[in-house]
Amino acid sequence: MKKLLAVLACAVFLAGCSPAPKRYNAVYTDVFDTVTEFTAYCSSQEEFDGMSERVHGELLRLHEIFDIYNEYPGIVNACSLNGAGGAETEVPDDLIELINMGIDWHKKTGGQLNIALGSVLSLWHECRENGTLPDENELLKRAGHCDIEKIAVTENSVTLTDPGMSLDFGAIAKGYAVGRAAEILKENGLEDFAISCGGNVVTSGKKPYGKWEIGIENPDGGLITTVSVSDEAVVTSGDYQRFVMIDGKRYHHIIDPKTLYPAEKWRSVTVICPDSALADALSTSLFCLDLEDGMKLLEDCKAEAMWVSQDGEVTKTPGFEDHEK
Amino acid sequence: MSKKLRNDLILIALLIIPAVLALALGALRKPGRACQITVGGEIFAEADLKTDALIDVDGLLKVRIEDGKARVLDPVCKNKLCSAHPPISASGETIICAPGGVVVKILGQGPDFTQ
Repeated sequence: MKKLLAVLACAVFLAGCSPAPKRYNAVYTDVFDTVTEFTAYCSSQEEFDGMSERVHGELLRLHEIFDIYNEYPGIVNACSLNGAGGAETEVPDDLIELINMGIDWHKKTGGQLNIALGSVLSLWHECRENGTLPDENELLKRAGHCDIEKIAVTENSVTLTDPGMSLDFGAIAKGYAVGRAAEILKENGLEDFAISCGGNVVTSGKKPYGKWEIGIENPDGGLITTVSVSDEAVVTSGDYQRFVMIDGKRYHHIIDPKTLYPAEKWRSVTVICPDSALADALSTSLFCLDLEDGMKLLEDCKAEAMWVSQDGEVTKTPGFEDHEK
Repeated sequence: MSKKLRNDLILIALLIIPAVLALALGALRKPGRACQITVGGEIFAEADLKTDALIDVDGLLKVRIEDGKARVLDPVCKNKLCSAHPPISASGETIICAPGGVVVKILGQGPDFTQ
Protein backbone atom coordinates (compact mmCIF):
# COMPACT_ATOMS: atom_id res chain seq x y z
CA MET A 1 0.00 0.00 0.00
CA LYS A 2 2.88 2.34 0.82
CA LYS A 3 4.33 1.66 -2.65
CA LEU A 4 0.98 2.50 -4.25
CA LEU A 5 0.80 5.75 -2.30
CA ALA A 6 4.37 6.62 -3.31
CA VAL A 7 3.59 6.00 -7.01
CA LEU A 8 0.45 8.12 -6.78
CA ALA A 9 2.33 10.91 -5.02
CA CYS A 10 5.03 10.87 -7.72
CA ALA A 11 2.42 10.92 -10.49
CA VAL A 12 0.66 13.91 -8.93
CA PHE A 13 3.99 15.67 -8.42
CA LEU A 14 5.16 15.05 -12.00
CA ALA A 15 1.81 16.09 -13.48
CA GLY A 16 2.06 19.34 -11.54
CA CYS A 17 5.58 19.99 -12.85
CA SER A 18 5.02 19.44 -16.60
CA PRO A 19 5.32 22.83 -18.32
CA ALA A 20 2.07 23.96 -19.96
CA PRO A 21 2.53 25.23 -23.51
CA LYS A 22 1.95 28.96 -23.88
CA ARG A 23 0.05 30.79 -26.57
CA TYR A 24 2.19 32.84 -28.96
CA ASN A 25 1.15 35.03 -31.85
CA ALA A 26 2.81 36.63 -34.90
CA VAL A 27 1.38 38.92 -37.59
CA TYR A 28 2.72 39.34 -41.16
CA THR A 29 1.54 42.08 -43.50
CA ASP A 30 3.77 41.38 -46.50
CA VAL A 31 2.09 38.30 -47.99
CA PHE A 32 -0.93 37.98 -50.30
CA ASP A 33 -1.91 41.66 -49.87
CA THR A 34 -3.65 40.94 -46.60
CA VAL A 35 -3.01 40.49 -42.88
CA THR A 36 -1.82 37.05 -41.81
CA GLU A 37 -1.89 35.88 -38.21
CA PHE A 38 -0.08 32.82 -36.90
CA THR A 39 -1.04 31.52 -33.43
CA ALA A 40 0.50 28.48 -31.77
CA TYR A 41 0.96 26.77 -28.43
CA CYS A 42 4.68 26.27 -27.85
CA SER A 43 6.92 25.49 -24.90
CA SER A 44 9.05 28.62 -25.37
CA GLN A 45 9.35 31.88 -27.30
CA GLU A 46 12.38 30.41 -29.10
CA GLU A 47 10.38 27.42 -30.33
CA PHE A 48 7.58 29.70 -31.55
CA ASP A 49 10.01 32.09 -33.29
CA GLY A 50 11.52 29.16 -35.19
CA MET A 51 8.06 28.00 -36.31
CA SER A 52 7.02 31.54 -37.20
CA GLU A 53 10.09 31.91 -39.39
CA ARG A 54 9.14 28.73 -41.26
CA VAL A 55 5.52 29.83 -41.80
CA HIS A 56 6.49 33.32 -42.90
CA GLY A 57 9.24 31.98 -45.19
CA GLU A 58 6.89 29.54 -46.92
CA LEU A 59 4.13 32.15 -47.34
CA LEU A 60 6.62 34.65 -48.77
CA ARG A 61 8.00 32.04 -51.18
CA LEU A 62 4.53 31.14 -52.46
CA HIS A 63 3.41 34.80 -52.53
CA GLU A 64 6.29 35.54 -54.91
CA ILE A 65 5.51 32.52 -57.14
CA PHE A 66 1.77 33.29 -57.41
CA ASP A 67 2.12 37.10 -57.67
CA ILE A 68 0.58 38.32 -60.96
CA TYR A 69 1.62 41.96 -60.48
CA ASN A 70 5.39 41.77 -59.76
CA GLU A 71 8.40 39.75 -60.85
CA TYR A 72 11.21 38.82 -58.43
CA PRO A 73 14.89 38.18 -59.07
CA GLY A 74 15.81 34.54 -59.53
CA ILE A 75 12.30 33.09 -59.97
CA VAL A 76 9.87 32.64 -62.82
CA ASN A 77 6.42 33.39 -61.43
CA ALA A 78 2.81 33.93 -62.50
CA CYS A 79 3.64 37.49 -63.62
CA SER A 80 6.45 36.19 -65.85
CA LEU A 81 4.09 33.57 -67.30
CA ASN A 82 1.35 36.12 -68.04
CA GLY A 83 3.93 38.32 -69.78
CA ALA A 84 5.53 35.52 -71.81
CA GLY A 85 3.52 36.37 -74.96
CA GLY A 86 2.42 32.76 -75.51
CA ALA A 87 5.92 31.24 -75.19
CA GLU A 88 6.45 27.98 -73.32
CA THR A 89 7.69 28.89 -69.83
CA GLU A 90 9.39 26.70 -67.26
CA VAL A 91 7.77 27.43 -63.91
CA PRO A 92 8.14 26.17 -60.28
CA ASP A 93 6.34 22.98 -59.22
CA ASP A 94 3.94 24.88 -56.95
CA LEU A 95 2.70 26.94 -59.91
CA ILE A 96 2.19 23.78 -61.99
CA GLU A 97 0.24 22.23 -59.11
CA LEU A 98 -1.93 25.33 -58.64
CA ILE A 99 -2.68 25.58 -62.38
CA ASN A 100 -3.63 21.89 -62.55
CA MET A 101 -5.86 22.39 -59.53
CA GLY A 102 -7.48 25.40 -61.25
CA ILE A 103 -8.13 23.38 -64.43
CA ASP A 104 -9.62 20.56 -62.37
CA TRP A 105 -11.91 22.99 -60.51
CA HIS A 106 -13.04 24.60 -63.76
CA LYS A 107 -14.40 21.20 -64.80
CA LYS A 108 -15.91 20.42 -61.38
CA THR A 109 -17.78 23.72 -61.22
CA GLY A 110 -18.95 23.86 -64.81
CA GLY A 111 -16.73 26.88 -65.43
CA GLN A 112 -17.68 28.93 -62.34
CA LEU A 113 -14.11 28.90 -61.10
CA ASN A 114 -11.83 30.06 -63.88
CA ILE A 115 -8.13 30.87 -63.30
CA ALA A 116 -7.97 32.08 -66.93
CA LEU A 117 -10.23 35.04 -66.15
CA GLY A 118 -7.22 37.27 -65.40
CA SER A 119 -7.79 39.83 -68.17
CA VAL A 120 -11.39 40.45 -67.01
CA LEU A 121 -10.41 40.54 -63.33
CA SER A 122 -7.59 43.03 -63.96
CA LEU A 123 -10.09 45.38 -65.68
CA TRP A 124 -12.42 45.16 -62.68
CA HIS A 125 -9.44 45.66 -60.36
CA GLU A 126 -8.48 48.90 -62.14
CA CYS A 127 -12.10 50.10 -62.07
CA ARG A 128 -12.47 49.39 -58.34
CA GLU A 129 -9.28 51.39 -57.71
CA ASN A 130 -10.64 54.32 -59.78
CA GLY A 131 -14.23 54.06 -58.53
CA THR A 132 -15.59 53.57 -62.06
CA LEU A 133 -17.44 50.83 -63.94
CA PRO A 134 -15.71 48.91 -66.76
CA ASP A 135 -16.59 49.64 -70.36
CA GLU A 136 -19.02 46.95 -71.57
CA ASN A 137 -17.25 46.46 -74.93
CA GLU A 138 -13.86 46.18 -73.26
CA LEU A 139 -15.27 43.56 -70.87
CA LEU A 140 -16.62 41.49 -73.76
CA LYS A 141 -13.35 41.88 -75.67
CA ARG A 142 -11.36 40.61 -72.70
CA ALA A 143 -13.83 37.79 -72.08
CA GLY A 144 -12.69 36.44 -75.46
CA HIS A 145 -9.31 35.66 -73.87
CA CYS A 146 -10.50 33.49 -70.98
CA ASP A 147 -10.63 30.03 -72.53
CA ILE A 148 -9.02 27.67 -70.00
CA GLU A 149 -8.48 25.09 -72.77
CA LYS A 150 -5.73 27.38 -74.02
CA ILE A 151 -3.49 26.60 -71.07
CA ALA A 152 -1.04 23.82 -72.01
CA VAL A 153 0.68 22.24 -69.02
CA THR A 154 3.57 19.77 -68.99
CA GLU A 155 5.47 18.39 -66.00
CA ASN A 156 7.53 21.55 -65.58
CA SER A 157 6.29 24.12 -68.09
CA VAL A 158 3.20 26.09 -69.04
CA THR A 159 2.18 27.69 -72.33
CA LEU A 160 -0.67 30.17 -72.66
CA THR A 161 -1.51 29.48 -76.28
CA ASP A 162 -3.70 32.60 -76.37
CA PRO A 163 -1.17 35.43 -75.80
CA GLY A 164 -4.03 37.74 -74.78
CA MET A 165 -4.85 35.47 -71.85
CA SER A 166 -3.67 36.06 -68.30
CA LEU A 167 -4.02 33.87 -65.25
CA ASP A 168 -5.29 34.99 -61.83
CA PHE A 169 -5.09 32.78 -58.75
CA GLY A 170 -6.98 34.99 -56.32
CA ALA A 171 -9.64 32.31 -55.79
CA ILE A 172 -7.27 29.53 -54.77
CA ALA A 173 -3.74 30.79 -54.01
CA LYS A 174 -4.18 31.76 -50.36
CA GLY A 175 -5.85 28.48 -49.42
CA TYR A 176 -3.11 26.52 -51.16
CA ALA A 177 -0.32 28.57 -49.53
CA VAL A 178 -1.76 28.40 -46.02
CA GLY A 179 -2.23 24.64 -46.41
CA ARG A 180 1.42 24.23 -47.44
CA ALA A 181 2.63 26.35 -44.53
CA ALA A 182 0.56 24.16 -42.17
CA GLU A 183 2.14 21.00 -43.63
CA ILE A 184 5.62 22.40 -42.95
CA LEU A 185 4.74 23.13 -39.32
CA LYS A 186 3.43 19.60 -38.83
CA GLU A 187 6.57 18.13 -40.44
CA ASN A 188 8.54 20.10 -37.84
CA GLY A 189 6.58 18.62 -34.97
CA LEU A 190 4.17 21.46 -34.15
CA GLU A 191 0.70 20.15 -33.35
CA ASP A 192 -1.49 22.93 -32.00
CA PHE A 193 -1.63 26.01 -34.21
CA ALA A 194 -3.78 28.12 -36.51
CA ILE A 195 -2.96 30.38 -39.44
CA SER A 196 -5.38 33.04 -40.64
CA CYS A 197 -4.63 34.67 -43.98
CA GLY A 198 -7.30 37.16 -45.05
CA GLY A 199 -10.43 35.05 -44.64
CA ASN A 200 -8.61 31.71 -44.94
CA VAL A 201 -8.07 29.95 -41.61
CA VAL A 202 -6.34 26.61 -41.26
CA THR A 203 -6.23 24.88 -37.87
CA SER A 204 -4.29 21.98 -36.40
CA GLY A 205 -4.84 20.27 -33.07
CA LYS A 206 -6.58 22.39 -30.48
CA LYS A 207 -6.12 24.83 -27.64
CA PRO A 208 -5.55 23.57 -24.08
CA TYR A 209 -9.22 24.25 -23.28
CA GLY A 210 -10.94 23.30 -26.51
CA LYS A 211 -11.11 23.63 -30.26
CA TRP A 212 -10.19 26.71 -32.29
CA GLU A 213 -13.04 29.18 -32.52
CA ILE A 214 -13.64 31.10 -35.73
CA GLY A 215 -16.12 33.96 -35.78
CA ILE A 216 -18.00 34.39 -39.06
CA GLU A 217 -18.91 37.99 -39.78
CA ASN A 218 -22.45 39.04 -40.59
CA PRO A 219 -22.19 40.96 -43.89
CA ASP A 220 -24.17 43.76 -42.19
CA GLY A 221 -21.88 43.88 -39.14
CA GLY A 222 -21.18 41.83 -36.02
CA LEU A 223 -20.82 38.08 -35.94
CA ILE A 224 -23.40 35.79 -37.51
CA THR A 225 -22.02 32.68 -35.79
CA THR A 226 -18.91 31.08 -34.31
CA VAL A 227 -17.65 27.67 -35.37
CA SER A 228 -15.33 25.36 -33.43
CA VAL A 229 -12.82 23.43 -35.49
CA SER A 230 -9.80 21.20 -35.11
CA ASP A 231 -7.63 19.98 -38.03
CA GLU A 232 -9.97 21.78 -40.44
CA ALA A 233 -9.90 24.89 -42.60
CA VAL A 234 -12.55 27.60 -42.59
CA VAL A 235 -12.83 29.97 -45.55
CA THR A 236 -15.35 32.71 -46.20
CA SER A 237 -15.99 34.51 -49.48
CA GLY A 238 -18.09 37.62 -49.07
CA ASP A 239 -19.17 40.75 -50.90
CA TYR A 240 -18.16 42.88 -47.90
CA GLN A 241 -14.43 42.16 -48.07
CA ARG A 242 -13.20 44.08 -51.14
CA PHE A 243 -15.69 46.33 -52.90
CA VAL A 244 -16.42 49.80 -54.24
CA MET A 245 -19.72 51.71 -53.99
CA ILE A 246 -20.80 53.34 -57.27
CA ASP A 247 -24.13 55.22 -57.41
CA GLY A 248 -25.20 53.50 -54.19
CA LYS A 249 -24.53 50.01 -55.54
CA ARG A 250 -21.86 47.65 -54.16
CA TYR A 251 -19.40 46.21 -56.70
CA HIS A 252 -17.28 43.55 -55.01
CA HIS A 253 -14.28 41.48 -56.13
CA ILE A 254 -15.77 38.05 -56.91
CA ILE A 255 -16.64 38.16 -60.60
CA ASP A 256 -19.08 35.61 -62.05
CA PRO A 257 -17.42 34.25 -65.23
CA LYS A 258 -20.87 33.78 -66.81
CA THR A 259 -22.04 37.40 -66.41
CA LEU A 260 -18.61 39.12 -66.17
CA TYR A 261 -20.08 41.15 -63.28
CA PRO A 262 -19.82 40.69 -59.50
CA ALA A 263 -21.73 37.55 -58.47
CA GLU A 264 -25.03 38.49 -56.83
CA LYS A 265 -26.44 35.22 -55.57
CA TRP A 266 -25.05 35.49 -52.02
CA ARG A 267 -23.70 38.00 -49.52
CA SER A 268 -21.29 35.43 -48.14
CA VAL A 269 -20.46 31.73 -48.25
CA THR A 270 -18.40 29.94 -45.60
CA VAL A 271 -16.87 26.50 -46.12
CA ILE A 272 -15.40 24.09 -43.55
CA CYS A 273 -13.32 21.10 -44.64
CA PRO A 274 -9.99 19.46 -43.78
CA ASP A 275 -8.18 20.70 -46.92
CA SER A 276 -7.36 24.42 -46.98
CA ALA A 277 -6.93 24.69 -50.77
CA LEU A 278 -10.21 22.84 -51.31
CA ALA A 279 -12.03 25.11 -48.85
CA ASP A 280 -10.76 28.21 -50.68
CA ALA A 281 -11.76 26.89 -54.12
CA LEU A 282 -15.15 25.75 -52.82
CA SER A 283 -16.05 29.04 -51.13
CA THR A 284 -15.43 31.03 -54.32
CA SER A 285 -17.27 28.45 -56.45
CA LEU A 286 -20.30 28.26 -54.13
CA PHE A 287 -20.45 32.06 -54.09
CA CYS A 288 -21.22 31.97 -57.84
CA LEU A 289 -23.50 28.90 -57.82
CA ASP A 290 -27.14 28.59 -56.76
CA LEU A 291 -27.96 26.50 -53.68
CA GLU A 292 -28.89 23.32 -55.54
CA ASP A 293 -25.73 23.21 -57.65
CA GLY A 294 -23.66 24.20 -54.63
CA MET A 295 -25.09 21.34 -52.56
CA LYS A 296 -24.27 18.89 -55.39
CA LEU A 297 -20.68 20.13 -55.50
CA LEU A 298 -20.37 19.78 -51.72
CA GLU A 299 -21.51 16.15 -51.78
CA ASP A 300 -18.33 15.13 -53.60
CA CYS A 301 -16.00 17.09 -51.32
CA LYS A 302 -16.75 16.09 -47.69
CA ALA A 303 -17.20 19.76 -46.90
CA GLU A 304 -19.78 21.78 -44.98
CA ALA A 305 -21.10 25.22 -45.86
CA MET A 306 -23.19 28.19 -44.77
CA TRP A 307 -24.79 30.61 -47.23
CA VAL A 308 -26.05 34.11 -46.40
CA SER A 309 -28.50 35.35 -49.02
CA GLN A 310 -29.02 38.94 -50.22
CA ASP A 311 -31.93 39.34 -47.79
CA GLY A 312 -29.96 37.90 -44.86
CA GLU A 313 -31.48 34.42 -44.91
CA VAL A 314 -29.01 31.82 -43.64
CA THR A 315 -28.80 28.25 -44.99
CA LYS A 316 -26.46 25.66 -43.46
CA THR A 317 -25.59 22.05 -44.14
CA PRO A 318 -26.30 19.79 -41.11
CA GLY A 319 -22.56 19.21 -40.65
CA PHE A 320 -21.97 22.97 -40.47
CA GLU A 321 -24.44 23.25 -37.60
CA ASP A 322 -22.48 20.55 -35.75
CA HIS A 323 -19.49 22.92 -35.70
CA GLU A 324 -21.45 25.75 -34.08
CA LYS A 325 -21.38 26.16 -30.33
CA MET B 1 -10.71 -6.14 4.26
CA SER B 2 -8.62 -5.04 7.19
CA LYS B 3 -9.49 -1.81 8.97
CA LYS B 4 -6.09 -0.35 8.03
CA LEU B 5 -6.55 -1.08 4.31
CA ARG B 6 -10.08 0.37 4.39
CA ASN B 7 -8.82 3.54 6.03
CA ASP B 8 -6.00 3.79 3.47
CA LEU B 9 -8.51 3.46 0.62
CA ILE B 10 -10.72 6.16 2.17
CA LEU B 11 -7.66 8.41 2.50
CA ILE B 12 -6.68 7.81 -1.16
CA ALA B 13 -10.25 8.55 -2.30
CA LEU B 14 -10.28 11.75 -0.23
CA LEU B 15 -7.03 12.85 -1.86
CA ILE B 16 -7.74 11.77 -5.43
CA ILE B 17 -11.41 12.72 -5.96
CA PRO B 18 -11.05 16.46 -5.15
CA ALA B 19 -7.84 16.60 -7.23
CA VAL B 20 -9.54 15.02 -10.25
CA LEU B 21 -12.55 17.31 -9.87
CA ALA B 22 -10.29 20.36 -9.61
CA LEU B 23 -8.37 19.30 -12.72
CA ALA B 24 -11.59 18.65 -14.66
CA LEU B 25 -13.07 22.01 -13.67
CA GLY B 26 -9.80 23.76 -14.50
CA ALA B 27 -9.71 22.12 -17.93
CA LEU B 28 -13.27 23.22 -18.65
CA ARG B 29 -12.60 26.82 -17.67
CA LYS B 30 -11.57 29.12 -20.45
CA PRO B 31 -9.10 31.91 -19.80
CA GLY B 32 -10.70 35.32 -19.87
CA ARG B 33 -10.24 38.11 -22.36
CA ALA B 34 -10.99 41.16 -20.27
CA CYS B 35 -11.93 42.31 -16.80
CA GLN B 36 -15.20 44.19 -16.41
CA ILE B 37 -15.77 46.35 -13.34
CA THR B 38 -19.29 47.49 -12.46
CA VAL B 39 -20.37 49.82 -9.65
CA GLY B 40 -24.02 49.67 -8.63
CA GLY B 41 -24.79 47.73 -11.82
CA GLU B 42 -23.25 50.37 -14.10
CA ILE B 43 -20.15 49.52 -16.11
CA PHE B 44 -17.25 51.49 -14.63
CA ALA B 45 -14.39 50.07 -16.74
CA GLU B 46 -13.40 47.21 -19.00
CA ALA B 47 -9.71 46.37 -19.19
CA ASP B 48 -7.77 43.92 -21.32
CA LEU B 49 -6.26 41.14 -19.19
CA LYS B 50 -3.14 41.09 -21.35
CA THR B 51 -2.12 44.57 -20.16
CA ASP B 52 -0.96 45.10 -16.57
CA ALA B 53 -2.84 47.95 -14.89
CA LEU B 54 -3.93 49.42 -11.56
CA ILE B 55 -7.47 50.82 -11.69
CA ASP B 56 -8.89 53.06 -8.96
CA VAL B 57 -12.63 52.32 -8.75
CA ASP B 58 -14.19 55.58 -7.54
CA GLY B 59 -12.11 55.49 -4.35
CA LEU B 60 -13.99 52.35 -3.23
CA LEU B 61 -11.18 49.92 -4.06
CA LYS B 62 -8.44 49.28 -6.59
CA VAL B 63 -8.25 46.49 -9.19
CA ARG B 64 -4.80 45.26 -10.06
CA ILE B 65 -4.36 43.45 -13.38
CA GLU B 66 -1.12 41.52 -13.54
CA ASP B 67 0.00 38.44 -15.53
CA GLY B 68 -3.50 37.98 -16.97
CA LYS B 69 -5.15 37.94 -13.53
CA ALA B 70 -7.26 40.49 -11.65
CA ARG B 71 -7.42 41.02 -7.89
CA VAL B 72 -8.85 43.60 -5.53
CA LEU B 73 -6.65 45.86 -3.38
CA ASP B 74 -7.28 48.45 -0.67
CA PRO B 75 -11.07 48.23 -0.28
CA VAL B 76 -12.49 50.93 2.01
CA CYS B 77 -15.13 48.58 3.43
CA LYS B 78 -14.81 47.10 6.90
CA ASN B 79 -14.42 43.35 6.42
CA LYS B 80 -12.16 43.47 3.31
CA LEU B 81 -13.30 40.03 2.09
CA CYS B 82 -12.87 41.02 -1.53
CA SER B 83 -9.16 41.74 -1.14
CA ALA B 84 -8.71 38.32 0.47
CA HIS B 85 -10.17 36.65 -2.66
CA PRO B 86 -7.50 34.95 -4.80
CA PRO B 87 -6.79 36.55 -8.19
CA ILE B 88 -9.26 35.63 -10.93
CA SER B 89 -8.51 34.95 -14.61
CA ALA B 90 -11.01 32.44 -16.01
CA SER B 91 -14.04 33.41 -18.02
CA GLY B 92 -17.05 33.98 -15.72
CA GLU B 93 -15.11 34.30 -12.44
CA THR B 94 -16.09 37.20 -10.20
CA ILE B 95 -14.98 39.06 -7.08
CA ILE B 96 -17.80 40.94 -5.38
CA CYS B 97 -17.45 43.78 -2.90
CA ALA B 98 -21.00 43.86 -1.53
CA PRO B 99 -20.69 46.96 0.70
CA GLY B 100 -19.36 49.06 -2.18
CA GLY B 101 -21.61 47.45 -4.81
CA VAL B 102 -18.55 46.63 -6.91
CA VAL B 103 -18.42 43.53 -9.13
CA VAL B 104 -15.21 42.51 -10.86
CA LYS B 105 -15.99 39.96 -13.58
CA ILE B 106 -13.82 38.15 -16.10
CA LEU B 107 -15.32 38.30 -19.57
CA GLY B 108 -15.15 35.32 -21.91
CA GLN B 109 -12.77 34.78 -24.71
CA GLY B 110 -13.92 35.91 -28.15
CA PRO B 111 -13.23 33.77 -31.21
CA ASP B 112 -9.59 33.15 -32.11
CA PHE B 113 -10.12 34.66 -35.56
CA THR B 114 -12.96 36.32 -37.42
CA GLN B 115 -13.62 36.32 -41.16
